[in-house]
Amino acid sequence: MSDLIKTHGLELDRCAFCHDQCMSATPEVVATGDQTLVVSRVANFIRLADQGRLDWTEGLAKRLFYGLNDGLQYEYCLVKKEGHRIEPFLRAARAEAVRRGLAPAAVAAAAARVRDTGNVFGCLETLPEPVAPSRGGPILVHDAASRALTPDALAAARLLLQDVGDGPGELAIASCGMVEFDLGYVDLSQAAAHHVHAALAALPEGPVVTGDPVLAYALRVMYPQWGLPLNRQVLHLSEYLVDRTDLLPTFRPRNEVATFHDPAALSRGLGIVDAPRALLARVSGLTLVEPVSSGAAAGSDGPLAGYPDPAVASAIRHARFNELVSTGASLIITSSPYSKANLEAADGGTPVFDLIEFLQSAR
Amino acid sequence: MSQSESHPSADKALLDELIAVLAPERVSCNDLDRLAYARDTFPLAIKGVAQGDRTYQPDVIVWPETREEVAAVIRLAASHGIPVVPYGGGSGIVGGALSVQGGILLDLKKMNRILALDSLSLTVTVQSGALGGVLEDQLGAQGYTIGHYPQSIYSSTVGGWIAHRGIGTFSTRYGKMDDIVVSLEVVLPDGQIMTTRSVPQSAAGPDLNRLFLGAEGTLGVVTAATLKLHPLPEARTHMAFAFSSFADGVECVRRVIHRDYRPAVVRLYDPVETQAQFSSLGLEPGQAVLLFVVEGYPELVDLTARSVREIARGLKPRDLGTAVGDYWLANRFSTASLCKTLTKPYGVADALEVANVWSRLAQTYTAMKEQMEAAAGPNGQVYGHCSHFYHTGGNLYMIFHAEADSVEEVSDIYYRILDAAFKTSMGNGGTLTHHHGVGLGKGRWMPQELGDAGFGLLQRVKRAVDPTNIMNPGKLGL
Ligand SMILES: Cc1cc2nc3c(=O)[nH]c(=O)nc-3n(C[C@H](O)[C@H](O)[C@H](O)COP(=O)(O)OP(=O)(O)OC[C@H]3O[C@@H](n4cnc5c(N)ncnc54)[C@H](O)[C@@H]3O)c2cc1C
Ligand code: SF4
Repeated sequence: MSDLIKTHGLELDRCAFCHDQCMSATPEVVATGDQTLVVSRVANFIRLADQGRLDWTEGLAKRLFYGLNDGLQYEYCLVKKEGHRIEPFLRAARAEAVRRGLAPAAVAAAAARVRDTGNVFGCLETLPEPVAPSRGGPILVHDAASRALTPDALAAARLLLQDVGDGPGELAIASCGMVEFDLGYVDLSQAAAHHVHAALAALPEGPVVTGDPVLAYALRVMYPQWGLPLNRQVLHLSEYLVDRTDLLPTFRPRNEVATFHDPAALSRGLGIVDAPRALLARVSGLTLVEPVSSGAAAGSDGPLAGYPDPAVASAIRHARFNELVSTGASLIITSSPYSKANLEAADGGTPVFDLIEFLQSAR
Repeated sequence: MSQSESHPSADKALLDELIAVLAPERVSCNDLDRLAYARDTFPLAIKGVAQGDRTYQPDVIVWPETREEVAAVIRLAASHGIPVVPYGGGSGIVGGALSVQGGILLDLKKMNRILALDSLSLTVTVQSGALGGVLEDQLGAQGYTIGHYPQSIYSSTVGGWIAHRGIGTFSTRYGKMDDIVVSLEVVLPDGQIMTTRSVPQSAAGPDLNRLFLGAEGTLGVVTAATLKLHPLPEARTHMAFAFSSFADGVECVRRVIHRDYRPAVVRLYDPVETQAQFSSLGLEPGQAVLLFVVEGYPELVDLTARSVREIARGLKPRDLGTAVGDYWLANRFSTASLCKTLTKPYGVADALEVANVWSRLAQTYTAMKEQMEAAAGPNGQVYGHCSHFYHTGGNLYMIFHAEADSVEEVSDIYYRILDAAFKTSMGNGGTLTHHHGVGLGKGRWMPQELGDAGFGLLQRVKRAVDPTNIMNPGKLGL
């Protein structure tokens, strides 16, 4: 028996006895119509398995990994006011499944890539030496997600940081450890996190900035929980730039209609909703239309990595893509490498930009 | 003959045939899946499954995507003599979606598409497995709403709304499912597909839509429905008052309704719920809060709001301004306190909804509260509100929390309280259920509700439509 109930008993009980008000906000249920993926059912499986009333099997493990775990349910949760969360127990249960050797093939393959290359994308990279910032400037941090999924946005970030003129430094890391943590590979996650923590400790003072909200969330929220406080500000690029708009270049008018997709880690994780919109408002001629769900309640665009069912991932990103294009927008803008990759994979004809890449293209 | 003998469980031949008409990934007899479907939101089933109890598990689960697939499954079930239980969101709280005799569970949530939207006639045709929250978002994006917002909108489906004759919190303006349904597409127990006409009214014999409204899957499977639509409201306002008694609140609502005003939301809380929900307002014990939310076209909203306020003032309440409405609008989907009681090993809670005419409404409330409290015992709590009103009367929503002395006694105390509640409601001329339906939990009171002749007629209808009793057996008291 593991310690799942001991550590997460209250949350597991709340969900297992729940009236399921988060069902419409559980994308994998909407995509599959499968009641076994409803949070109350998954929570109950975990309780019963922990009590020894249900066997830990591959089938049970697979259901644990279907959850996008991106906090959307929380927006609809009937015990939201009490700060209820499902991510902690789901991650702990995934870790238990991994410990028992029950990880689904796609999850195990993702972990194997991390072991082989240091990142979940399997990119074999030689990382450049860190560049120290000058004059207390920011340190642009990126991991393989930005380099593999949105290299143009990363290049644009460098240029915009030069524009605002604080003498930015740069730190390329293999992985911040968040994806591994979410998939239940705690050892891999912690190894990555310790590495990043040490690398940042070796750099002079100055805020960390990143265009990847998953990385920002890990550094700002998870590292302190893992006993690795950074003792420096961690900012998403949109937050950093919006405070320096007077230093930004003038953007060319773009007479287009765009919609902004709020990435989960940015809006729900970090509570950043206004900053990207404020930056887009600086592009004259650009009309921003809101989709049905936006901000903290924005629909999910799909998983980060290692998802056990590609067809379900595809259905989820298509549903979000369709919601975004139903606004009538001719372009979709988001601000996360994972979200951009997911929405692009929906392959629906409407171009998808990263926020920073879009701003750079409008200068 | 045992129930399982009367309906042999799914065998290999049946599974093969199901896979042939659907696809392997849309047929499951996996143990985990069966356990997940062994509950809906019937309190005793939630508690049972939380202990790993598999009493109500189906033998096999299927996920059809079209009406033809539903028909094929039903024909297979009929040929094997195996029960079929339609399953929507599983949010029903009377055990309607429980597989009491095993068999095939038909999860309809893959059938979730909008098929047509007629913006001139203001109707939408939608497959029955659409989840309410998702459907309303899709309609909202096009500027429409059905106006049906049950508290369970995020966990219930169109098919479940119809099967239980459900109602939403904005019902006084938008109506009950009985008013919202325009036409239905139904797969009958012999596999035929019946579609009623999408017309505003008809006199071609008895209304066949009505046969399936409230049938709880016992007469067929609703596969699609055409429902009334409304443009999204352009204006909304709300107001609340504290009356010196519950009866005064009832009288205020009656005057509003009889003056032909239709605020979308009308909620009258009894003194106990008033104190529990609005303690910060510093109200006197015994006072009852009444909330009105008015929405629609600005000129009508304005007129209704002014008139409602004027009518209310005639009964000298305290004007509570907008705080109550703001709070309710922000928290209207939460049933956290009921769930909390269910997590206690010996705890049980439920919300019982009955209805009666104006002349007997307040007295029915008083009598039910008294009888339910006596049945719940010293550790029990009973309170309630009225939240749906009509020309002739309204509903009573009686909530109870109770604790038994042992796990074994949970079911006893639960049914003792239900018995007290329903006998009192019916004894006062009221009904057994206003919108949750009958399912498994209330079946035993159906003969009293309908009377011998009425219940006998329902039994004969069931036998005629479903002679082999494969459609959701054991529900509606049948
Ligand atoms: C928190 C909470 C709040 C609630 N609030 C309300 C409320 O405000 N108003 C209200 O009316 N109810 C309310 N309910 C009760 C419940 O949500 C409704 O009864 C709802 O209509 C059930 O829909 P479902 O899709 O979940 O149906 P299920 O629970 O899946 O099924 C209910 C019944 O319908 C049958 N059925 C389902 N789909 C079909 C179909 N396509 N064809 C034929 N039969 C079918 C099932 O066999 C079963 O008998 C609430 C429940 C909860 C848990
Ligand atoms: S996340 Fe909240 S709403 Fe969802 S099952 Fe858990 S307690 Fe219920």
